[in-house]
Amino acid sequence: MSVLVTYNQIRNAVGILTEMMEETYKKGGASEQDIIDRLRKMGKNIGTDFARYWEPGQKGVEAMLLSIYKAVFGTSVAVEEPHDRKSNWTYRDSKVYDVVDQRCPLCKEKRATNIAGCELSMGVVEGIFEAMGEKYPNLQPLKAGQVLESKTRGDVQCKHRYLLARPDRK
Amino acid sequence: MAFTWIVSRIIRLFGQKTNALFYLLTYRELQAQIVELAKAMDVAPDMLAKEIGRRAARESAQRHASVLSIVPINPNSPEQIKKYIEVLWFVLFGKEMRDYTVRVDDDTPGRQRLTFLLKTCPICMGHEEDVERYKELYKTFSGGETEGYACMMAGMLEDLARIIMENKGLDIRIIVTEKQCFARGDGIMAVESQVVPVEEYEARRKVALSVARSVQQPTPAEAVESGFVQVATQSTKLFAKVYEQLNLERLDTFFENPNEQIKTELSQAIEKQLHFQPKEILAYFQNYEEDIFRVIGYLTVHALNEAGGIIQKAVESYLMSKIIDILLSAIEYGLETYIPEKIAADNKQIVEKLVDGWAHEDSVAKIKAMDAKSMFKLVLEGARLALSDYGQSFTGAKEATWTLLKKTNLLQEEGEAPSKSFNLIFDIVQEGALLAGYIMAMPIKAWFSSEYEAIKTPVTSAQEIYQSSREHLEKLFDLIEEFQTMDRSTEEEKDSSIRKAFPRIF
Repeated sequence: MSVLVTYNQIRNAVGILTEMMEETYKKGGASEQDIIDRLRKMGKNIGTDFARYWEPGQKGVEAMLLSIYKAVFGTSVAVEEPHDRKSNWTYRDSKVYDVVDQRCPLCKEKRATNIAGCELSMGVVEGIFEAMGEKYPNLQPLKAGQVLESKTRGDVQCKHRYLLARPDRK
Repeated sequence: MAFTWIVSRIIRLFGQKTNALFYLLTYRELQAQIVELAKAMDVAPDMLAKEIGRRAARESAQRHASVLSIVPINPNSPEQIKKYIEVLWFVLFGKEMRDYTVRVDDDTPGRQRLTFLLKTCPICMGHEEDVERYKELYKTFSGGETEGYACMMAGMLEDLARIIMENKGLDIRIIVTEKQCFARGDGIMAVESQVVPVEEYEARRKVALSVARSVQQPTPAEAVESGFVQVATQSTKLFAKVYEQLNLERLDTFFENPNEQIKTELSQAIEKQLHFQPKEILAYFQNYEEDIFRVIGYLTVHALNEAGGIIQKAVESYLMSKIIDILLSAIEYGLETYIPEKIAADNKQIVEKLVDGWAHEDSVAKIKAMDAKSMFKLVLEGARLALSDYGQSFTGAKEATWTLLKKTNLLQEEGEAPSKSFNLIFDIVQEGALLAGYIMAMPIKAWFSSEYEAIKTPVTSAQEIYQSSREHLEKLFDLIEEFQTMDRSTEEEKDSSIRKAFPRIF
């Protein structure tokens, strides 16, 4: 499971495909969100299949996120909880986790699209959590929220927001 | 081949590495979307996939043009073309091509055709486990002239080959096609490489694709400025210039063919460049034999600077000038500590053979009486003199290392004990310095023919040195890769300045 390969060209291919999908499908009336949903779906498929061969362990959401990003994407990320634990009105009782990735494998430079390559990575994470949730019913499912920052859009880093579907009961 | 291996390891440093399973699964999802998109665009899925592969490779190649230019390409024989494809495969995947044979289908010069027959496919391995879910997808890439499931990868290889050949001004291209594919039921993966003239390559039918919008270039205010960025830019240009001078393909040939009449060639080269015979030059140094070696070091540095001002630019950079100081100190230290007497004596023997017949017999006797390591120190002395002409100052390895690290802010937040980052960086610099000592011993020996009895031993020594230096070079690459992947989440500030300056490595 620890075999590493160079991802550069695949990353570029995701970016090029995204631009082509946006160009082609928008002519048929699709919206930006439709393209994002496609990338998320691709990611979820990847995450679900990946989870058949590997599990992140169950040491808490933050630890699982760190583990997933390291094992799947090969990156060391930082996890932030931007909202006070008691104050969660903004996301309607969801707990928020922001993941900061300075070496996002799906983003490199600004592209001719606002759709971030890491929509796919967020789908992967959600897919793994979903697969784990089916296997371990006590596990709280984590949902992909939004891409807050992305190198694809010209930011200096990628930042992904995830939401816990149920609030903590602490 | 030695340089093919070195080239491959250098290029791998610039790749972002992820889990191999993630790679395979992403490729599959990409192909699934491409099939759907191809229907909407009314183009053949394999042609669309291949075109996306070509463009994907092009984007990376444009970013790493100077690095890719070090890939040696000499497509005069099937053997050379095979090596070229192997290097490109390594560039693409970061792993060597394994479990394969090569069939030469046509060795007509300028139209060679080779087929690589692989027992496992890096793109669709394990596809049997999901064959029911993705049956329709795999079926799409079969039938008639349709290329196999790995067609996107073939497009990447093809465009990487094209870009390098174009940059080197070659008038041929290589068409890469997957002819047989496991995912569609064939018993083997067959990847064909066909050499064609550039006109024929350009005249092929292209998939008409376009992306209307273009990326806005960053404004000057948005551009990142730092000392590291300037060094990174300079080092990239330096790298390209050094490569031009070293001419890796030719060095490769020297290692392969040690029997050339190098003394004759050297004599001819001196006459051509300097309009003097070697004998005439050495006559000026009678009774000043030590200056011969100082002048060699001195002129080498100045000659290197002729290639676009490499030395001048390096010395003007604070970081590079400190590295030069450290390296020269390390080489001198290596002479005393790491170069065995036998190796030094071998080099002295080569020098004696060179000057014998060219220099006056008194000079030859004085050179024979000189200590081997002293000769090298004189060369270094000359090199130092030349570097000082460009403003280089020498403080010694220890002080230069410390000053360098303090200047780069890596030590600013160090606690009482050095952090893992600090230790890794120091190890990297140390290995690089040790390596410089080994490399210095190599080219001299490689220049001589094994017809000279006295030089047979040095040629063997060169092979031994290559093995030892390869270990340190491997260790150096491993240390850099470890630094790339280590968890530095607690060192965000230091980390971000290094990343901004060397985004392609860190």
